[in-house]
Amino acid sequence: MALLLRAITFLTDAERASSGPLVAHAGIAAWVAEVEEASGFTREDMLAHHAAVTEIFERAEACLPARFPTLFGDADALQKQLAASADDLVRQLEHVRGRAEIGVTAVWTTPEEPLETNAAPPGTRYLLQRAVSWRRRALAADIADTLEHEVAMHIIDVRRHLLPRPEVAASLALLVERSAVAEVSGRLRRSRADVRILVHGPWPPYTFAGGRAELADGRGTGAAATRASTRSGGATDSY
Amino acid sequence: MSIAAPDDELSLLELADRLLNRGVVITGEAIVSVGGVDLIYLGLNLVLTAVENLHPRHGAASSSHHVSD
Repeated sequence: MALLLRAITFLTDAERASSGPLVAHAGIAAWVAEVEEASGFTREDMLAHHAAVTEIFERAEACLPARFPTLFGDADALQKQLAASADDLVRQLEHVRGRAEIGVTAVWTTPEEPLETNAAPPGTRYLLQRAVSWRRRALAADIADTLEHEVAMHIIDVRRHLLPRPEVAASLALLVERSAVAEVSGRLRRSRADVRILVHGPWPPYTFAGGRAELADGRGTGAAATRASTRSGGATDSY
Repeated sequence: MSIAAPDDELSLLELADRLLNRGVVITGEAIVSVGGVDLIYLGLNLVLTAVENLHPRHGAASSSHHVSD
C-alpha cells in the first residue's frame, strides 16, 4: 500500500472540506489516496486523478495539484517532504489562491506551405527551410501575443509554448481569478482566420504549481504577460 | 502535415501534458518511496509511455510507470 499525492492546500481548507485521508504539516495539508501498488498506472488512473484534483480545487480556495503520479511509501515519508518544502509550498499556494488555469490551444487551419527546393543546392535549400521555419514561429508568436492581449487585463500569470506540435501554433496557460473565468473564456473563443481557438478549463492550476523549472521548453511571455507581472507587483514567476 | 486532429484529442493531450509534466513536485523530482527507500521518478519515460496510453488500451494495460533503482 502506498500514498498517491493528489494535491496540497492550506490546512484550514482541508479540515473544512476533506472527507478523505490527509497528511498535514505546519498549516499545509496533502490530500492523498491509498493505492495498492506503485506501478501500472493507466490513462484511466490519470483521468481519475484529474477528477479528484478538480474536486479538491472546487472545495479549496488555494490548491496545488500534484504531478501525476507522485507516490510515497507512507505518511512519514510524505510529511518529511512537506516539512522540507513548506515555505515554497506556502508561497505557491498564495500565488494560486482564488485563481484558476485556462488552457488555450491555437490550432492551425492552414497547412504549412510546401517548399519547392528540389532544384536548389543543399545550402540554399537549408536556408530556405530555416526561413520558412522562422516565419512559422514568428506567426505563432504573433498569435500568442494577440491572444494574451485580448485578455491582458485578467492575466495574473501566463506560460506559452510555441509550435508544441505540428498542428498547433501555440499553447497557452493563463492564470486568472476564478471570477473572471467566464469572461476570459468568452473573449478567447473569438475565431481567427489562420487558427482555430480551443479554450480548456477552468482547470486546477497545474501549470502554476511547481515554479518555472517545470516548463523547461517553454518560451518567454509576451507583452501582455509583462504588463500582468508588473501589475501584480512583479511577484509572478512568468517565464 | 495533418491539421485535422480532432478537438477532443487535442484537449486530452493538453490535459495530459499538465497532469504528467506540470503540477507541484515537492522535492524537484517526483519521489517514489517504497520500503523506506526513496527512488527518483523517471519523468521523461513516463511522458513518452503515457501519451501512447492516451489511446484506448488493447489487451493488458501497459505500465506507464517507471522507477529507477
